[in-house]
Amino acid sequence: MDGDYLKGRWRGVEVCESGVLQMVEVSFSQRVPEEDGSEIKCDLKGFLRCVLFPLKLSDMLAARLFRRALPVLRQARSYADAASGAPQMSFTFASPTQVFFREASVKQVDVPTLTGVFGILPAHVPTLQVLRPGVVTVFNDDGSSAKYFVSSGSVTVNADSSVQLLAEEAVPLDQLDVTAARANLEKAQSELVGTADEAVRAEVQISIEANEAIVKALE
Amino acid sequence: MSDFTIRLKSIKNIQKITKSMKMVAAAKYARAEKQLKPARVYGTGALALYEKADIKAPEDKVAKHLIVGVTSDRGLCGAIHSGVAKTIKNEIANLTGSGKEVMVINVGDKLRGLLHRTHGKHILLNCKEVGRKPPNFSDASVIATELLTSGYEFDQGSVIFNRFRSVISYKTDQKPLFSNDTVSSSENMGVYDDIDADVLRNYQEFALVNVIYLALKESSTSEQSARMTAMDSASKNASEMIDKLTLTFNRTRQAVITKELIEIISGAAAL
Repeated sequence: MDGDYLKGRWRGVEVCESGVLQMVEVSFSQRVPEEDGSEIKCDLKGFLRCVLFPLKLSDMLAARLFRRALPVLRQARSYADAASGAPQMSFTFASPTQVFFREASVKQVDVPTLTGVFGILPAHVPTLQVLRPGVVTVFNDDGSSAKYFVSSGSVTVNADSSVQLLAEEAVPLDQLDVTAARANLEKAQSELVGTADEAVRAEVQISIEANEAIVKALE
Repeated sequence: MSDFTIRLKSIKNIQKITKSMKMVAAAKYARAEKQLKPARVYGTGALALYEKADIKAPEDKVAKHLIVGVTSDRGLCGAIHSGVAKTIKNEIANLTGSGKEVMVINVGDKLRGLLHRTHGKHILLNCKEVGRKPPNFSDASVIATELLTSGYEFDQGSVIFNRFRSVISYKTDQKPLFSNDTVSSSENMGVYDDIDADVLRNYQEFALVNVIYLALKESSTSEQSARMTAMDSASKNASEMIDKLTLTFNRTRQAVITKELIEIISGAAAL
């Protein structure tokens, strides 16, 4: 039976060199018909002998396994799919003295930047931004959200969907007092009117901006 | 005999002093280590961009280097200062050997003392009053501001400090500093969307402060732990010396008494 093969699906057992049993699927194509037009059907035993014997499997064992394998549905051998389609965001949020999130997995982060408020989700396009005083909102995977006030800093979104939010000062919103913020704001505004020195004016304006943001966040 | 007593007294005093220095260093170390944990997360976050975007200064164009060496003002802490100074000297030798210009910023008086005699012309800035109080973010920003306003346009730089590993071990480590031009002309930066020059400059300045802050924190923790171990071994050595001296003192004292006794007895026997 040289060059002989049978068409059909078949599942059998192969014993490899190492003696490990592996399930293999053998598909074999129809034998080329003979010149005289008759098709030759290969019988089971003969097939087993010619296919499996080279694989060092005895007839009896193969036949037994083959019979057992028959009722089972055909299964193709394939590799597992890559785990979970959507990329996870590795979120790190820290100030010099405190770490709020460290490589945590969150759903969304809203950050106030110089160019506006950004919402960052997993698979956001990579970018670098500088923060302005404002409120950062973190939406956790379970739906809860946490708000923090940041003074300034930077946010980095990398290509592998990791986000580093570094704030110079950051506090949870509930630790801020709105009356103190309003008092500071009025004081800063009156200072601005009073001074003429450029550097001092710049500092006072920064303080005004920060206090305004705090007051707005707490209202 | 009298010089024995003087010596014993002075060594006992030294032992008391080193023991108290060890306790002070242990307390400062505990606090520094607690503050180091968030500082490390913060500092590695700041460096993440440079690692992930794989930013490297182009080898041929780099001509001006900057080295920031971080130690402190106070001694008696083992090989902290000399380790950093040795690394800096090696770096200077390598870079000037390949024709590049190097300037050094000393954070800490000890480093200035170690470098100014041999490498005085490479020193750009000296920072004093480092090490008395734990470093904070405003210290790092002061250093960064002075660096940026010094007028030295560097292409690439590094911060050399002692990285804290454990109570008994630290290692001299380097972290890179990149200039604005290097970052903006790096090829991987194109991946990052919507960046204009102003934003990048602010980001870079902030990152510079963060790296210096990390170096300051790590350095102070390593210094306190090194001082603790140094003072510990000093007090142990002092107590060993005290034991040995006490033994020889007693032996001498007994020998003198025995000699007098012998004289008396032999004198009485002669009568």
